[in-house]
Amino acid sequence: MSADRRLLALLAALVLVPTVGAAQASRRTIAIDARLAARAGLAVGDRVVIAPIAGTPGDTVTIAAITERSADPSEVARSEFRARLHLDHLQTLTGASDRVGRFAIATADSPGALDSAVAQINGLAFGFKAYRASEVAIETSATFRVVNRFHRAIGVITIVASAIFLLCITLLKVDERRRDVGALRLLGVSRSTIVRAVVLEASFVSLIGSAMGVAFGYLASAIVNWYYQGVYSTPLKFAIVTPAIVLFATTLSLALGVLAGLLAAQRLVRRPPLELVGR
Amino acid sequence: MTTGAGLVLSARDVRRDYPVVGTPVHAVRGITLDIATGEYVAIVGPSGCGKSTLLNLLGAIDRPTAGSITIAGRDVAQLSDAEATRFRLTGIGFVFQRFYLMPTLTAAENIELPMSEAKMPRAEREARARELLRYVGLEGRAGHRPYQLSGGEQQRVAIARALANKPALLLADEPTGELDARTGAEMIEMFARLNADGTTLVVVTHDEDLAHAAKRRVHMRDGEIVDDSGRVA
Amino acid sequence: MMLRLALANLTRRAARTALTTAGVAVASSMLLNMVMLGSGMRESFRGFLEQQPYQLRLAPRGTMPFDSEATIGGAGELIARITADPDVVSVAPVLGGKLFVERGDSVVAGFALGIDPTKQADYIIAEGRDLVAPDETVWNGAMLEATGLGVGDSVRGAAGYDPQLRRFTGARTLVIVGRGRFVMLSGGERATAVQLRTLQAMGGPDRADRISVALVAVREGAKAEAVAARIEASEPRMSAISTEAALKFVDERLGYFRQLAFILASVSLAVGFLLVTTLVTVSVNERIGEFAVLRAIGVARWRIVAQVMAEGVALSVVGSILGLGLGLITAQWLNGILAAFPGLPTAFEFFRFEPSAAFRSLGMLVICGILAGIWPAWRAASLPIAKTLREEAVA
Repeated sequence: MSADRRLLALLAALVLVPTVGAAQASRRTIAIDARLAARAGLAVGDRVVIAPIAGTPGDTVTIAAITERSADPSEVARSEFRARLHLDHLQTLTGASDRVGRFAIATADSPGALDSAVAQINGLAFGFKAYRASEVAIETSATFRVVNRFHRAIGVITIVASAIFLLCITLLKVDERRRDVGALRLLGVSRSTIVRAVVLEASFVSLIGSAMGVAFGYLASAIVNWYYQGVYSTPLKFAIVTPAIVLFATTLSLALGVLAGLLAAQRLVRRPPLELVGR
Repeated sequence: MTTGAGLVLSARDVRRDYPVVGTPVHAVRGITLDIATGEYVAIVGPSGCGKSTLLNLLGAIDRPTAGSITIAGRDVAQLSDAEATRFRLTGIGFVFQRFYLMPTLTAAENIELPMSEAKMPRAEREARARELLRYVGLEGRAGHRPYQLSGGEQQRVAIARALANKPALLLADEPTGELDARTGAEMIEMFARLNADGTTLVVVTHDEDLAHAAKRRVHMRDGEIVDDSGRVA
Repeated sequence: MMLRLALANLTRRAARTALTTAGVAVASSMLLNMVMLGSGMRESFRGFLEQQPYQLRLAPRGTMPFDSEATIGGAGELIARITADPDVVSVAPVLGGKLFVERGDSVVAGFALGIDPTKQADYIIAEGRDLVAPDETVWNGAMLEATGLGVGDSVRGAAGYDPQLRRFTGARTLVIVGRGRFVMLSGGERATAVQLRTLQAMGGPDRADRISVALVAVREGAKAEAVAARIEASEPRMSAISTEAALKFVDERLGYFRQLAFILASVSLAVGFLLVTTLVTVSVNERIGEFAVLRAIGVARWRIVAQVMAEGVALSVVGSILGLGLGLITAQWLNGILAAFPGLPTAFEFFRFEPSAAFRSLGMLVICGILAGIWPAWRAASLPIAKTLREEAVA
């Protein structure tokens, strides 16, 4: 059986039997994740037996630490428990001798060191490939990329819908004041003045609306993060409001508001003033 | 309470006050008025004297603060909202200064509107609408919308609408107010014809010609009747 | 007549009505999408599971089928014990693994299923035929494409591969006899199937008499949950997962989408309501003179309320019907995006059209249209007639 399969078999079939006062307990220690500790009722200092296959003899070890999940997207929604052992201990336990599944390599903090290391390793290692941490992150977050595209699609639909709603309501509200506009035109106020006034008003409304929307967005993202961090027991942030997002949203809503105001105003000033006052 | 013999309307000590911060406004102060069947009455007076307010009270559009108004045997001042609405539909015809036709309906449909509300069968109300259009001289304009009609034509449609459910009383509030002199004259002729055909008319007007065309003139000032001349015995 | 008035008023301001209807259509389409999303995942998975002739799936205790690489030993005896249950009709064992194929300088790896061809429910033959002999294999399109092979070709496949030493273990010559559509796998995933004994043999002593999953067909009339409970009680190494349990698991995993669906559906309803209310309110404000005249000539209050509410309902109904068409188009688009989920079976749909979902969302919006018209309608019908006429004359 390969080392990988033994390791996975261990993780899947970990047998934890608390033992107290075992005469010849191993001094080896392991770390388990918080979910496993909670499920099995274990704490630091407890002694357990671990084995690679259920029902086979194993080692008695002491739980030295309880670990929390990291902010890794690939960890979210995964239900398996995790245990960490010293490498040589796991190799002995699973009969993997001098084998590993992967290496993690820290490179020097100088420009080009990472690329150089990747090239060297890929040139040397037979049957192994070196991946940058960013490449691994991209691969393991495939699910989230799909979710991201889905969110963007919903975002596009929402923007289109909002534009229609905004135009509709602006048209209605501007149209409501057609008698006032008619009276102003009869008094000699120019079309461009009317249009400027309406557009200015629409801009104020858009700015105020954007500010309220940004505040609401921050609040909503805080609630989303709090909720899903609790559900998935992860420190991962699910929603982040960045300055770029705020700038994009504000600019877009301002542009849409101005456009809606402009269209509504143009529609109104095109009509003869007498018609506007109802004559 | 019933209206007296030959009377279609009997108002007794009718008052209408509007509560305003400080001093209340007494728009109508204790008016007593009888109108016989077939009469043609013009209510005249300066602006703000309360004549339109009185007309609204007589038409059950507004409710008096005190007093009674009996029309065709019913005290309209005591009617509930639903009863007053029904009364306006079948007992009173109202003509407004600004016509107030439904802009989305044709002339014929505007006339049919009260008949439809009174649950008249469709064939019957269409026939009556045609008849009324003929009566007011607009039989060729049945399918026209208000914006396609002149002011005078719109007012004639409004008169036809007011007559739709054969009311006991026709009330008109400044019916020539929005019309030019020639059209106003036509309207005066129309009212004369209506009255000659038996319709009891009460008009509120500033128009001297219309006031003189009426057989009885009731003068108002400051919410009271100051003169009720030309009364038919 | 009042209905005629309602429709005439809507068409009087065509641009405004069209825009509002468009807005309601978009809200309605979003609502329909979210209703479809909320139930689609579960129902498409249910439909997919119920198509199979097996009601229970047995996996190593604490895992879901193929959720891990764990296997169960003593498969032969295990299957015999389960088959002995009077409510069990048949048991289909499945072993999961890998198949490595050397093609020039590279190695192509695919998921391998060891099955009993007389009982399998994992793939549908699209070309060629199913397995008969031990050295035959069925591949899916992705595997054939990756290797450049076709039905009828022979290939040397191995169950294990050490990349460091470039050494294959458990190699065997197989003949590709068919191309299959593997229903439980995603479209891009490479998959192969061989007979169970063949894969066990290729896996060496570590895989002898081992299986990953057993599919159980329950007698008609018997309760699958009861059989599952009996199996779990007698086989402590196994979890017995019924269709309902599997659905519950999927629900939990995809709970995020249900929550998102609920939130966006609520927002869509609120926006639809707001739009209709705004249009009806503005429309009423413009026509208060007309309403006062209608009341003056004797039209009853309730008729005016009905007219105004009819306008709201008309907007909602027309918008909803348009939204139905738009919603189906956007659902296709969104489904296409989510279909790229890694590991998602091709039979799985996120957005599934159910007529009941369409009626539900239509109904909700129409109710919104009714409610949206209530306040402006009541306002229109309650105006003091004389005062309104006077103000309108002045205006």
